[in-house]
Amino acid sequence: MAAAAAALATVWLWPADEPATPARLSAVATPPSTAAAHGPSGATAAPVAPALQVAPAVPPGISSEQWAALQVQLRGRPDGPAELRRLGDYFAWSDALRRFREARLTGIAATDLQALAQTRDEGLPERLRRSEVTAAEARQIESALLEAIQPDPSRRADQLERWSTAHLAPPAAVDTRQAEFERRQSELVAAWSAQPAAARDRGALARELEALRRQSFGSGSR
Amino acid sequence: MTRCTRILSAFALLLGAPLAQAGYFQWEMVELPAATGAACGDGSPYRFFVNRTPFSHDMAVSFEGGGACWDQKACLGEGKLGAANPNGIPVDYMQSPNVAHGLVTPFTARNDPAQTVQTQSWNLVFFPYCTGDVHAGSKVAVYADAYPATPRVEYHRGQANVSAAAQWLRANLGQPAKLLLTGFSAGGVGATVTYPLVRDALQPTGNVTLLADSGPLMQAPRSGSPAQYPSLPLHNTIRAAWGLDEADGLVTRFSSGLLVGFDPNNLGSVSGALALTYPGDRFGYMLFTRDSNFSAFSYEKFYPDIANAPNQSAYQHALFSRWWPDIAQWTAALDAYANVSYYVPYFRNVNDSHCLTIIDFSGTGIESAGIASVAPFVDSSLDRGPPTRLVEPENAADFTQPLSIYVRLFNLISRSP
Repeated sequence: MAAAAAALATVWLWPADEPATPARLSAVATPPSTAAAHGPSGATAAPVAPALQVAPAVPPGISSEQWAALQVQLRGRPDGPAELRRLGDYFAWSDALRRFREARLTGIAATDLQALAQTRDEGLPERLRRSEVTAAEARQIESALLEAIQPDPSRRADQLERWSTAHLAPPAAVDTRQAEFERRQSELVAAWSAQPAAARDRGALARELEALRRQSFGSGSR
Repeated sequence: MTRCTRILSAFALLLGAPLAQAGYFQWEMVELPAATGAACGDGSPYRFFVNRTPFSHDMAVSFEGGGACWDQKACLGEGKLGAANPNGIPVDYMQSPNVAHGLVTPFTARNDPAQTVQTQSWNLVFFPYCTGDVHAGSKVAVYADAYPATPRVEYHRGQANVSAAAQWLRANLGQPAKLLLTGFSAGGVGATVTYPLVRDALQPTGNVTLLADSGPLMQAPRSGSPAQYPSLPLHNTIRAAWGLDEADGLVTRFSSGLLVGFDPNNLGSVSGALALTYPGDRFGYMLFTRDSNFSAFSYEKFYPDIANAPNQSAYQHALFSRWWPDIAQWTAALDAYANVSYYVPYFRNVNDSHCLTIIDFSGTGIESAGIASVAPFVDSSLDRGPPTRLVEPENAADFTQPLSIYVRLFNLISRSP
């Protein structure tokens, strides 16, 4: 078992041990999942999938070589077409945001800036939902967009507040394993504390707590 | 067990972690297996986040900040100096308004509307902070000083978290080309003290850079006195509280060959030892002269004249009468190393003038040197420009300098009831 695990680790590590040089990478860096599935030389048997039946236009913000390489890389993944669409949407949105940022710095007509901001504003909740931006980043983007769309500062603050309430979710529910872990942890600590001070072995308590923690949370399931 | 077997076993353990299944340009969560020793302060699993790009092999790792603790209340997150995330890191932390206290740093925002930095096109990694130990500890503590009936078990597991996360990154993303380690506040300290762990695990093939924001390790030799070295009581406290001197503690590891030139009797020697150990790397440190947050964290619980100051003026006097000599000794020590830079502007009216790289870079200039913001310092460090060593003289104009709409907005929100 240990040997098998070590062998698995060795195979997994092999691609990573070779420095990634531009010559090896071509337009797109080799993704870990692809490297793992195909092995370091691509020799591991893997079904050769047909080319994706989507050939959308190159999204703004990336080169045609990068886009082509991405299509090759996603070939064979069941979610490949959907992933390409998502990435295309993301690149387009991100590039428009870049143009919005540059337009603010260089100065363009207010109406043009507002139009640019409006389109980015509409795409932002989807970017957040897809974890392409963080909550704090999204709020910062929204505040920048609102500055272009809403000239009145107090209305802008209200709108930002409403937007945050609508789109920034509170943290997810606490891990269900935690309550039981804490209950059993309290029992261990109470038993340890009940001993005479001279008899309390901090090292032993730490080992017991660690054993409980590993038992409670296992091997990293989400 | 041979070293090779131990390493393979460690990697094999990490294979049990959920693997990256999210797409490029998305924040994916990685929960480290309990068996790696990784944990948040409350014992819950440690989770970190990765945002990959297919267009680069460079990697920027950001360490979250947020207080620290060596007593029960602070470990529960209570008080202004309490530790962040006492209840662990939820799976959707990056989508939560609470991430990094709602603060953006350009090092974790690809689409930052306010601030561009070259690392926004790199693979981005975010290490949340939930252990109250500036990502450095190796100890399980039981705190019952405030609420004896309900003790707080605190897993100061920062070192294990960073080590396991670095190994996961190596196993799943491979060797990076360029590598940046950065962090703000406690994250700045964390990025500094765990630098060798991450660097050695990832073995980057290109330039490696540290940008530690507002988390200085001040000079504090144990042979000195608090009057000479005001950070000495803090250093002595955290060494014991976080297990830094225990068998697997960071000080012990530094002294056992991990760092060249480290003096175990002076935590402040870490910065110089890093420079000596990795002479080809670049180390950049930043802070504000009038930072009244990290200075409070450093001294307030150790000097009664600060804690009991009768008014704000006396409080600031007591604080800065220690902070400014500490800064002077810190920069003097850093001057000895050719690959070390520092950048110390005077004041910015946000977050107690604490941290330069949060929100955006507005208000971080050193006008007397003709520098508008910290951006050139960041670029120069990454691009191997001449080392920058600047401390802004007292500059009253900083108190009224114009700040960006984002900084003003943050001030507005943070001052709201």
